[in-house]
Amino acid sequence: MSNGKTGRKALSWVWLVLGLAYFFIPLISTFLFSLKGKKGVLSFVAYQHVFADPNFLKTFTFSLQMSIYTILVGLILIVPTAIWINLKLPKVKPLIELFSLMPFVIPPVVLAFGLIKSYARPPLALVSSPALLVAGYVVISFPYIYRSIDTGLTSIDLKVLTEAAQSLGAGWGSILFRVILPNLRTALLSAIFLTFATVIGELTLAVLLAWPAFGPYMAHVGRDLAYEPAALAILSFMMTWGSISIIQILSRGIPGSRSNVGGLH
Amino acid sequence: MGFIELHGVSKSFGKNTVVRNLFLSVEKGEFVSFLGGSGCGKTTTLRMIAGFEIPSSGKILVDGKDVSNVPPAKRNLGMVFQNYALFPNMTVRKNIGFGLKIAGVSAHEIEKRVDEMLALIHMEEFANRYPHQLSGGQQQRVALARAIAVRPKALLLDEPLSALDAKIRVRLRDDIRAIQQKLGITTIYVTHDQEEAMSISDRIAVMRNGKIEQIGTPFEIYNRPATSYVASFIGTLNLLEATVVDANNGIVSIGSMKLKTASSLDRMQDKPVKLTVRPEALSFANPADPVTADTNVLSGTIETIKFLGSTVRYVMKFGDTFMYMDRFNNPQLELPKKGDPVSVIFSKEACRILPADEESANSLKGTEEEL
Repeated sequence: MSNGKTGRKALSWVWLVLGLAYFFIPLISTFLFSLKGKKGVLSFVAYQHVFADPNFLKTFTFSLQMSIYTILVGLILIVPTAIWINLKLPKVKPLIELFSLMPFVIPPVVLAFGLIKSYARPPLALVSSPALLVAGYVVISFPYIYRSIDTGLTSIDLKVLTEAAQSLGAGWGSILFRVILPNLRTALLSAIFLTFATVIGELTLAVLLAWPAFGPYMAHVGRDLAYEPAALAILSFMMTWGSISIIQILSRGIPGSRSNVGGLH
Repeated sequence: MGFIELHGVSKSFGKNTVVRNLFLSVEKGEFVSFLGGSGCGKTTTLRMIAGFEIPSSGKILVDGKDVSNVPPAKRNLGMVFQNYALFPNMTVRKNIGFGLKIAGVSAHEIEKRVDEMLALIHMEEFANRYPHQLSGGQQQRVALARAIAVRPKALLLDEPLSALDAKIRVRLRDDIRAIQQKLGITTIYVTHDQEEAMSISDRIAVMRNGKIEQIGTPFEIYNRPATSYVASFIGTLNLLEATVVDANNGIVSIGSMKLKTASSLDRMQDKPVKLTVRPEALSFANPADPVTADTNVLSGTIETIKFLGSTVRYVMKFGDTFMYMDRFNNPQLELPKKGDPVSVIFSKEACRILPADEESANSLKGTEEEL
């Protein structure tokens, strides 16, 4: 019995090491490659080039701005919708879940041409407005926002908490801001950072709608330069992991998360 | 006029009618339990009173006002839920003070009222804990305090103890009753546990198929059940199919046995009826005891013996009929064995006659397969 247990444990370690190697070897290789900007020595010169390029900051700032708008519009549209569906229209939920998969099924290029075709002429000539780009980003982010919020809503007993608040005299404003949203903090943070990561790296919509975003900049650098794209890839990776770490840190302090001692009867 | 009144209240979900033309009057300060099996409409009725469901027809009056279409937030009725429904993001103190804050009560008054509530539920030292740091029993006590902190017109409890283990359930139900009596608050309590309903209520409304089958004090419901459903839902019961053989003298037959009853059997000669006898009404016949004309005596054999702690339940066979008998446990006495011959006696007053054409709740009929 003991031999079998040891064997299983060893096998688990082998799988873990293989998994970590699969994940880290390309990352380490990319990182090492990004340090070879100067012949013969390892240096951060590629990173210096990236930061020195004015387009880096310009495109990054633009995408950051767009991501903030996308997050705001997305949350304002999707959070109340998800709450309402969970509370009042649970039968519609499968339909909304199907819709939320559409951005994965329909290529962004189709969405971009659809937007251009629909909003190129008056009275809705929005092609030159960043609002159309934000609208497109909201569509692309819909699955991430909706599914994060829906998971959060499923983890709390939404209906009963709402009814408990109602029985104590609370109106919808109080229920939303004092009861539901504070209990959705982790879900909201997930939605925010997933949207941020999606918008920051998005290429197709930005290219086809002709906006100077970070995605097209990365593609441009990747086409024309050697070491800088590797540096940018590492920077993007760090941003993503930074976002995930922030979610972890912020959700650790959330009251009501089940990490503490049980009480006595 | 009652403090809470239901006038012909019905509720349908699509084609499914859950509550049917219900009439009920609950007096101020009274503790009324809705008791019944799953799907009998008890929770739906409570939810209509709370305002979470709108009646399909009929009226609900609270303190003389029609609240049928008033939203729950405006009814000022405290509600306690089965799964506590405490706000996970708030401490015990903030949970209890939530309703007061919504009502715009001053911070000082909230603090004072919350302290009173914490003292009432004996949980002062848990004020700053979060719900997940409390046991189920503690969470439900906080939920109770939260519901009554706003001084509601009435308290509604929807199976508040069903998620708790047996010992805590008993302790908490006593606490609920004590707090209710101390505050004199009108209370409606939903449960499927007949022992819970009997121990806590001023009156019990036994519900079935969306209707109140019988309403009365626990004593009335247990001792004078109006239907065989009520009789068999509350406690254990010998429910035997009988035929009236002598209506004038209250005598019925069960197989070859003839039993005396104290019931009026006018116009029921030769008709099928159901005879009910509580297991505790039976006792072993002692040769020294005189057998009077009012006593039924049956001779049969012991079929099984169930030791239940404080009581011992005997299943006995009399001809083709099986019956339960409950006796207090006595460590000095040796228990009989299966197949031992026994004689049992019970008074004719212990027999109750009910109409034959009714379905019973637990079907504790005297048939072999069910015993």
